[in-house]
Amino acid sequence: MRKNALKLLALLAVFSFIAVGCGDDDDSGSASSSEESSSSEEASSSEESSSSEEAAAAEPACELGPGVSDTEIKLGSSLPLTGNLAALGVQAEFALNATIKRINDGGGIAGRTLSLTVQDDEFNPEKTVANAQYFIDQVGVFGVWGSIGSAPTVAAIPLHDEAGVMTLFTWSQDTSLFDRAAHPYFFSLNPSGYKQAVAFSNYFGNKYDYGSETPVVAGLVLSSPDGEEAAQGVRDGAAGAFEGGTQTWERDAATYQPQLLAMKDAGVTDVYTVVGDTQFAQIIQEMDQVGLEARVWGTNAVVTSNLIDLVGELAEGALAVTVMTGLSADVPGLVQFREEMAAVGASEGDLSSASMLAYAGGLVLEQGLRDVGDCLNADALTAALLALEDFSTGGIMAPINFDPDTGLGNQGAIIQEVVNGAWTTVDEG
Amino acid sequence: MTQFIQLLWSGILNGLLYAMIGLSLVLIFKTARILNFAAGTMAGFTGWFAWWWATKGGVPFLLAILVAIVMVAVATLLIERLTIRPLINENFLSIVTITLGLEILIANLSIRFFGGRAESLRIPGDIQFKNFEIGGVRFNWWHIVILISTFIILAIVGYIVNRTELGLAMRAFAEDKDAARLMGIKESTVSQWTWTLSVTVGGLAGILFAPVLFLQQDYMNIPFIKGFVAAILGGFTSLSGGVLGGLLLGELEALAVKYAPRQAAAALPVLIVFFILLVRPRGLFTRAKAHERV
Repeated sequence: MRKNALKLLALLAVFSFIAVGCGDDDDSGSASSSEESSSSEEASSSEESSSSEEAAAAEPACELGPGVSDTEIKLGSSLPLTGNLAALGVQAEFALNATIKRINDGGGIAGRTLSLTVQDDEFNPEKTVANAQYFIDQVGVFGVWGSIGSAPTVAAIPLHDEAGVMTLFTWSQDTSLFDRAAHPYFFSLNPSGYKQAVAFSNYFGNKYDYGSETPVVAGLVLSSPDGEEAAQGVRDGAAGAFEGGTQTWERDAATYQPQLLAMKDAGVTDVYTVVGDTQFAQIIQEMDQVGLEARVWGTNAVVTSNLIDLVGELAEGALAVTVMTGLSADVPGLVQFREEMAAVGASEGDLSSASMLAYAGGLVLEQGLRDVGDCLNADALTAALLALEDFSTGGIMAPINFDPDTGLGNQGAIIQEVVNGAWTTVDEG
Repeated sequence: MTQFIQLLWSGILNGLLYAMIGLSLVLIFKTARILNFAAGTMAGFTGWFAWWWATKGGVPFLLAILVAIVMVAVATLLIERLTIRPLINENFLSIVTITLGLEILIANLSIRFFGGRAESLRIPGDIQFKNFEIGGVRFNWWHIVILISTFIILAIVGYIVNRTELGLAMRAFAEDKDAARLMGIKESTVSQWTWTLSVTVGGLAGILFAPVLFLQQDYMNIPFIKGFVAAILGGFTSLSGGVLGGLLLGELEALAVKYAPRQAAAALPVLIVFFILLVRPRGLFTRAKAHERV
């Protein structure tokens, strides 16, 4: 018994030494630089030595964030590279890599290059959490960037917050994320589902020319809290005056025909949906099959060339309320976007909402990192992002201004419509 | 009235999908007492294969379907020989584990070969986009093709099971394995052709419904779950039970959206199935004697 206790104490002592030793190594950013500066100061004159000592005493020491060293900033991204949303994940990955390449080819930021570790989460929140653990414990990242999906982001963000790791520019719209009191290091360019629905509703009720007939607007949303929020957003906006009910669908639904038939019964003229592009295609096809002659509205996720490939001419006239301009817009940001995506091997089909959103996030991230400079940590980058005023993405989005309460940088709504087989911006919002 | 008929038609269409998957599951379970968890993925893979031959392979549409079915059938013979047959006398869980592993393998192969982007299986003449009306009720031409094709497939399967020596052997094994072996019926032959027939039925469902659901990586997963429920509803040892269970489930789902409160519409079909099974645990269409055999 006594021998075992002694062995245990010895083991604990060994682990303690290791932990202390590793802790010294992990403080390499500040510790090694201060060691280097003190050794260089030995060679300088005493006057210089005393004045630099006074300066050092006056300025607080810079505490670099996790994943930040003198030469590198480590970032992670958990993306659906396989599974149902694999196309979106692959497209976003191209955009993230394009950003990394642009920054590193330009010499980095404050002497640091960016490195990116991408892990597949299959759009499975459990895997996103495992990836978050990997990023924090194994890789040691400064931020997790560009992840896709509300459920995955909601699942992983508590780990990010606890570790002081930034959660940057995800494509997620769960309202609970947009609360900087709860998530101080969360920043997004994509509004919550509720806000997007309000944007649609206000545009429809205040600006859209729906013709002389009184419209009937109905939501076709997922049977979930997110879906209910979107439906509420429609009611709370200007189109709420024309609200003709909400139809819900379940995750295990193979068809939307019963819901669309109910809308046809109710004389619905405008259907607002919150779905991906393939589901949007199915809805458009089934609207035609049941004879529901209504306009159909989607969000960012439906603005893809894939939608038009799937349903051809049926897509004509489909509308979307987005936060980004259409790919056919003649803006300098898109020109640069195309060039940089091509440079990392992306094809025309990879230019989509997913990649544009990730790319725009990269532009904002780069500016924020440059504004921070040497002393990079989560609080410094947070302050830099909040200080941005009308940051330009070259026309990809409306000018960026981050709301200090929500962390949302994009308050605009751009309306796109399928015209002659292509998504076209019809209103800048 | 026309809206009600339209709703019933919508239910029938989904019901046909569940029915075919249910039939695919029952074929194997009835004969070999194996639950094929890879049925949905195999059906989806067949749909993707047909798309590949029709687009990248440049093969005419009907030939693409035939080639896809034949290739998947041959692959099934191999899979059955290499993975299922060695475990044929092992316990139920071992074989279920194999089918789960097959599901994962085939799903990942599908992503690897066909990519993550959704595709459309275009029918010649684009008839999946063409509709017509009878008495105010709107029908889609491809849905009519699905209806006719499904009945032909069911008729062929019924003929094979009830009128051929293979079918007789399958029914013998379903009735009494030991007696069937003693009568000289080769279990390996029955197993390989049952699997092939089952996966072919599933594959045809995958192809027929690809233009409806669009080719996505897991587009047959939800129909598999619904087909599984349909098979249970039918009794899991009755071929016609699996089909009728699918049609019933499709109709329940369609009618629930229209007539049930929004909050209960999703749960209602499940509750009805639950109560049916509570009253008749052997399913709607399985006789007591067959149930005892199970």
